[in-house]
Amino acid sequence: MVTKTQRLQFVNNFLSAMHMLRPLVASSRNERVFELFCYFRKVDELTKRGKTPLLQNIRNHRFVPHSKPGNPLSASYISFQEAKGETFDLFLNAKFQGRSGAEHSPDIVLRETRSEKILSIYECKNHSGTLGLNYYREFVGYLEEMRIPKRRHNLTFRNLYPELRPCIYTSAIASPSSNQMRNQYDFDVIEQL
Amino acid sequence: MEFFKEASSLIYHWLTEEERVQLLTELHDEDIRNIEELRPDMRFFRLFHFIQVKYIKVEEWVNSIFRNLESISSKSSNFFAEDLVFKDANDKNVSLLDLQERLTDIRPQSIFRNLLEQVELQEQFKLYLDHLKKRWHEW
Repeated sequence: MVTKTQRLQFVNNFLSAMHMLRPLVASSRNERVFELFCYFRKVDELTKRGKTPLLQNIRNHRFVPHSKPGNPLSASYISFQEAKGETFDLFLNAKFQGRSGAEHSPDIVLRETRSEKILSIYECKNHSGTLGLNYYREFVGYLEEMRIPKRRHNLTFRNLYPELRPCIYTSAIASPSSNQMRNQYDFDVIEQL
Repeated sequence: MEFFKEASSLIYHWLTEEERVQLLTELHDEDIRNIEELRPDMRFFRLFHFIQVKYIKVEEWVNSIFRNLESISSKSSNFFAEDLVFKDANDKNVSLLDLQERLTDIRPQSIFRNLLEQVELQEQFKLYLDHLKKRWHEW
């Protein structure tokens, strides 16, 4: 049986070890890595659905996506080619004009190349604890502004292209009360990442 | 409860000012005004989860990105790990490969698991997360 003093010493030692990690996660690096993790998770999903990934805007042999909102085509991104010849672009931190005219930057956006129609959006929420309902409300606003109506991903469409279903990726726990909103507005939440 | 109270205080005071603000924002989203409002054991686990998300999980995320890069490279043009760079909040370029190497040296996930074992709270932490899923608003 460990004593209280010993347990507190273990916590102290743990915090000393965390101190070495601090520079690695400081200056929002942790948040940026989480966005990249979600982005490449989606890239992998699309690749596994038979789409061929092509790297775009490589600079000096380096893939450097936007870290803050910017013009979609001014940073590195990945496009996907389908067997039929259609192409899609997957952007990270790109800015788009919403239905109202205001500019928005959902974390990840999948867009049809030729028509420039936004097909889906994916948000990355690097939080602990439980994700508050305000984030789901914000996401519903994004769906409306980005013109992603529910009918576009109805049951048949979703079964054919599940990767197009809008989604919130989060390291937090999704609150049970978010279920009604997910069902009503038809999006996924992938939690505890 | 005395351990939880003192350990929570140690962790909370170790956080940077910026992290305390982030924590407070998250707590507000959960309808909790401040960390003191939680029972000492819940306070400890809530802070512990915060540390896990802010400091520990990054190792898992980076490794997952590298696995995905390998998968992409096998399907398309070569995409090497050293080619992936991102900018931090100060606009400084960060190489994902360098980050992975430094994380491999420190092994945060292993340190985290060790602490849970040492303080004999592995099960309770799992129960806390499960409970959050079911009855988060009652804590």
